[in-house]
Amino acid sequence: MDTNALIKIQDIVDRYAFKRKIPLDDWNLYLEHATDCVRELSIHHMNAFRTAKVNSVASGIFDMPKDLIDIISLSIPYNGELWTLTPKGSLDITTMQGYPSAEVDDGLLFYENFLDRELFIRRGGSIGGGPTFSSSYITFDGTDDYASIPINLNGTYTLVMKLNVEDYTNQQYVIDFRNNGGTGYITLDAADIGASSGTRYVDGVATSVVDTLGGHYIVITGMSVISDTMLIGKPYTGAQYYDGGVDYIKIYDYEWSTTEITAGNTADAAIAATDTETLLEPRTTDYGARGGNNLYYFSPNWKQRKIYINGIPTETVILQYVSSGLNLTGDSYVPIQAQSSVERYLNWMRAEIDGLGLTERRDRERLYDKEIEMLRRTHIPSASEFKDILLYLMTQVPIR
Amino acid sequence: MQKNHLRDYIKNHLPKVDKTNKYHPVLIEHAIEKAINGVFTEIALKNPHELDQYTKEYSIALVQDGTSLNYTATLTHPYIPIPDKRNGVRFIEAQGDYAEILFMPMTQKEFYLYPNTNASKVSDRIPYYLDRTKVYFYSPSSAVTTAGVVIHQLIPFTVYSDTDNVVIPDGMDGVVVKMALEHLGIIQPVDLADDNKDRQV
Repeated sequence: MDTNALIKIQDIVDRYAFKRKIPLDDWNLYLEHATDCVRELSIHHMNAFRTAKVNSVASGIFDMPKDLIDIISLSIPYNGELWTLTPKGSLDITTMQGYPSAEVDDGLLFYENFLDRELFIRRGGSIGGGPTFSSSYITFDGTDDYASIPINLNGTYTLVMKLNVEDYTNQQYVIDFRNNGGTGYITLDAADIGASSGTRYVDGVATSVVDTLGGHYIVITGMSVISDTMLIGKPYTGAQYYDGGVDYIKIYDYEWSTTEITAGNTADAAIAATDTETLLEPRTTDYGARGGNNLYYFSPNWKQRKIYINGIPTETVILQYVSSGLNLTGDSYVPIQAQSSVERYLNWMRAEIDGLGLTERRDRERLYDKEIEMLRRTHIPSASEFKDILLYLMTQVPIR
Repeated sequence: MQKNHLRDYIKNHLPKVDKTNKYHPVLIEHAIEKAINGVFTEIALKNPHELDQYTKEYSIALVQDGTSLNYTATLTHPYIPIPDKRNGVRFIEAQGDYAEILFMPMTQKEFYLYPNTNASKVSDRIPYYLDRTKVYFYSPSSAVTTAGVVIHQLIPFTVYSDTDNVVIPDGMDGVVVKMALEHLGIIQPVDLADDNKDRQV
């Protein structure tokens, strides 16, 4: 017997038949009614949804699961998060064959451009002291301002950043990964950009000298980092706060070549000339880029029961969908709280099977409705769940 | 009561004159069988689950019908017809320890509609229907097809061996004897026939 929160449909019918002395002769008949009931409950009352891992194929088309009734989301697991794809009414199938590999995986793991305080916080960041967000910079006062953002790094990376230096004489921590026992930091001290490890490049040249105020394009390759939090503008302990601005920080999972460093510097100079962010990074580069615009779409074809995906390589995607509630092979499980509803439904159907009078049938229907009402109460979301739902809906950040 | 004892008991209650062997043991057994079958039918109408007490077990292997999902088990003996879906096979279980598997009786019509139902997706409930000599199963699990089934069947009195103990429904022993004697009573002993009666030539 099931003692957990799920029960097999057939076990509900067993219990029903046992309690009401129903002969085995009619057991399958009641099972059929029970499955009808469970399907109705799943669709309308129990918020039953399933998660399926689906391998997207090179053609970008895969079949819907047979029990799929409605799609909740389609997403890609990435760094412990689910990056949802944007639903679209239609896709141009002719562009779906093959994927531009450079756009698919450019190694960009992290990208923060400090465009907007609200956006930064929405991405999981927090701030202390009160740094200002203006002209796409975050500016620290060197006294108590800092920012932090969760991150998940363990390896050797390339860090790319644009700083607006306002003081290069005093020791300051620009970035510190050492919170919670991590390793890695970047400092600015005595006209020198310092890093815990790796090779330093300033404005496209292999040097660590920073002896002028204003904008500097910094690249550090081969830097070892282990961290779950990136502190920006302060050390994990001490008071050497950074005095200046940060335009953006990017982290790549591979070591940049000198060609890339030079090209990056040229691109950065172009950006500085136009003073706009839009040229900095193609918006579609990577679904892993924080705040990156997601141009990976999916589109369901209900008539052919297929889902088309555009823009991702062949890999596993997570499909969350409203299920009919019935497994098409093997056993179907039902939340235990629905047992009473199913039994009431069977009792109602039994009145019809046995040809009982209209009054009796209505009475039993009413009892079923009461059970449904009770079942619904268990699924009214709490305030915190509403918050989660809203946050979930904001996973996509279409602006930037 | 042991089968041969019951038969002899009936025989001893019959008139002694039996020159032409009208009360052959087989005849007596059939009379008893008819009486017991009548009692079973009465019970079936009033309290069908009581019949489960009078069954006999047989282990039978399953045979697949070609490559289909249908399997059959050929009954070792005929059964006593009972007016419900279970008929003379009152209960079927999987051979071995498969307590979670239940076999569900159906009519032939239900059996043919069954593959299109939601119920057919359930794995550990196996439907069957009973024909004259076979039990038909739909999509039994591999454990069942390998191990076979145990059938609890109501068998006719004539099928029992002489030394088998025949269980007669509670309190119905007298009724069975009386009914058997009534069936046999319509056969007159030959010596009591009125041979002196005028005959047409």
